[in-house]
Amino acid sequence: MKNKISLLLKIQIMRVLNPAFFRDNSDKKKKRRLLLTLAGAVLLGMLLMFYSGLMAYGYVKIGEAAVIPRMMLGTCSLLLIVLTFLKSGGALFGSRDFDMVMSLPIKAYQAVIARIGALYFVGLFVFVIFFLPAMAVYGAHEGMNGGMVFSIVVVLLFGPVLPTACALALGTLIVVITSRMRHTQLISLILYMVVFLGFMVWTGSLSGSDETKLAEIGILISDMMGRLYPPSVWAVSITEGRGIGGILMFIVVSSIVLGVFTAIVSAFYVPINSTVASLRRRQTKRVRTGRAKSPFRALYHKEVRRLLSSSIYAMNTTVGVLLMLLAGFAVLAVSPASIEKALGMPGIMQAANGFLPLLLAIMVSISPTTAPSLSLEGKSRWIMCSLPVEPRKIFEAKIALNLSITLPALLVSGICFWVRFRPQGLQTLLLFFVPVCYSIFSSVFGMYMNVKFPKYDWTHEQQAVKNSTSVFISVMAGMLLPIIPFMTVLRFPAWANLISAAGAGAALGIALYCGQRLRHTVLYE
Amino acid sequence: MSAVLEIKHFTKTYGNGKCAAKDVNLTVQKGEIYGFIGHNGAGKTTTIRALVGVMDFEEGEILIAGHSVKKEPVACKSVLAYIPDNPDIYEFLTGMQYLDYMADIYGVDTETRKQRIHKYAELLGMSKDLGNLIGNYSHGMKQKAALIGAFLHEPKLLVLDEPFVGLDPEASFRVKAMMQELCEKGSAIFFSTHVLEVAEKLCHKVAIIKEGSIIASGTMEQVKGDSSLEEVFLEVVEHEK
Repeated sequence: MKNKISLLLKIQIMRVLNPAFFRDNSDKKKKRRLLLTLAGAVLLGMLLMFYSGLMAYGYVKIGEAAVIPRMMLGTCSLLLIVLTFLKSGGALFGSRDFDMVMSLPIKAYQAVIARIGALYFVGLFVFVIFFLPAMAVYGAHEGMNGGMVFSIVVVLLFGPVLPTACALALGTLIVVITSRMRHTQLISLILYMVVFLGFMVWTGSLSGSDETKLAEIGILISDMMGRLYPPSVWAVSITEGRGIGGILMFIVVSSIVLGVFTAIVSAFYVPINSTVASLRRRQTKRVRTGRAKSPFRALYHKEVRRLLSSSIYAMNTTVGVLLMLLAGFAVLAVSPASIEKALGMPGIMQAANGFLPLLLAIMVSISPTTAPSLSLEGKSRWIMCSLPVEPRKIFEAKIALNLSITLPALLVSGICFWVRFRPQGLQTLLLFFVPVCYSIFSSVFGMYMNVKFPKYDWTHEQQAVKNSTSVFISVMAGMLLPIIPFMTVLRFPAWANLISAAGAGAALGIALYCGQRLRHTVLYE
Repeated sequence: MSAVLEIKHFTKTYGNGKCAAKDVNLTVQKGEIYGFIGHNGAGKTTTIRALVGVMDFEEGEILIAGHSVKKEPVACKSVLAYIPDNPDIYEFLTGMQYLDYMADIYGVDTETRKQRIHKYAELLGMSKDLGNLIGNYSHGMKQKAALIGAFLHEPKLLVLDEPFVGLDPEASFRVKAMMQELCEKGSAIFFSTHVLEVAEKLCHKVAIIKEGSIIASGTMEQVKGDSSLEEVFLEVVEHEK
């Protein structure tokens, strides 16, 4: 029994990560690319750990170190709920390999444990990245002792359990409900976006305005987490000096929840999967042919449908645009004085006009839809390779999709920021021109990166959308290219216009170069 | 008769040194159904992928309706249709959306596509399933949807890799009828198959490939004579060992 679970778990973890890492790659080029990707992932992990430690240090500096354990546990748990929720569709019910797995000589609970285990593994990773460094800072300040080490180990091991179970339960509910509906994927996507935006608005509404209020945020989150789920209070009982009872209860409750959840899911695993599959196949109706349109429009519409069909693809590539829209509406809702107070930077309104174009540029260029779009062709790529369409038309349709999302959003956000900050003359022009240039850059650069680093052999879309080299490089470039001039503008505000224009010029230049290379690309299977 | 497909001295060697096709030469005329048979790994799929332009090759020339696959790929692809042996088509589209997409790409007008989709969908029993997502189709249904998509623009050259795998007997029968009808209109069909009885009944010409080389080719009568195609195939392949 143990061997079967570990075998199934191994496959599930490989599916979550990237099968390519586990393949024997005698191709030196591929090996080099994989190593680069791995190095990039490690670097990113280290940066995130550093950021987490820095945040904890901030609380230590303002004398509020005591809130760190509960706050970080709460933050990691919330983050994990959202991350797991976004991945939950098809994780337990409605997965493609259900038939294959359940035809093996295994029991349902073994398959369920393997699936939950793989997601738990991701949760463990989140806690290691964010919780551990913060607790290291906390421990360095408060003094590390045996009780604290025990607490940290317990939270690392048991912390992911409850958020994973909650998110999976919610995600499963959505799968079962939406499988009865006509536009399953679209409704799922809308639900995911509502949850995500709701989360962002909720955390944003907790922002304070000065040091005192900042400290209260930690207490507020801690209290809120305590009310949301009491186990987070139990888990930090030793660090908060309330003895061992709480943390033991945390271990027991987490174990019971895991056991009960696994038992319930196992009991209904086969019946619910069968129901989901049969509901999806039940709809039979005659439909009409569409009206003829140009090949480019056909390609573009296909790209739109591709995006809307996948919540992972849509959520991961539109997050920057959603944040930008949210920021635009937020600045309209909040008074200028409140913004200055909230940021703790008097006079920032004056300088905002200098860096706003680049701020928008950062948000619009971090996650282009083009970066994974070629990879997502996957096993169907023979279609695009055999069609009587020049490859550049295919790329243009994919680039057009990204631009059709970013440009209208830029217009809306730009107008919101213009209304609030009232830039004059050239600054108004730059407010729209600079982010548009960066949007073009990220669209074209993302496409070029995907042509250079395609990943067609994915078995789950997550591998193409989140774990691929093209996406990693595009996200990094999308962040760094506007951030460098942004930081320069903060340092030299008097030269803001020139720096912004130069940044936009550089972005356009790179886009032109990549565009030229794309024009001469030939697509083969 | 004008050649729809001409393969001249086609050779393909993969990066690992394996020579998948060696000096392959064959010609397919208008109105012909040409069978391409061989063992697994003989080079059938390699040849097919090269001629439809989804795979690059270094040596030789492939002409489709007089256009070079290397120099004028779009011109070649506009007159041909291709279905691989395991046609993974877009699972996020409904059957109808996929067919509309193919019709748009190949420039089939609204009325014509409506008539053809209706005709082929009725023939293959897919009319009620075109509103469903392809992701929910069985393998056979995906195969049928891909076939309808290929026949939609009445290509001059239809290239099929193992087209009968996954089709039920009735669908196989109807697909053969569709192929014959297409040829009567002047198109040509080039397909690979392991089902030698089908090739024997359907094809005007046949080529047998083994380890990348054509070892026998010609009209069905020339290749098989009085024997069955299966007997000839086994004999020829054995002789070449």
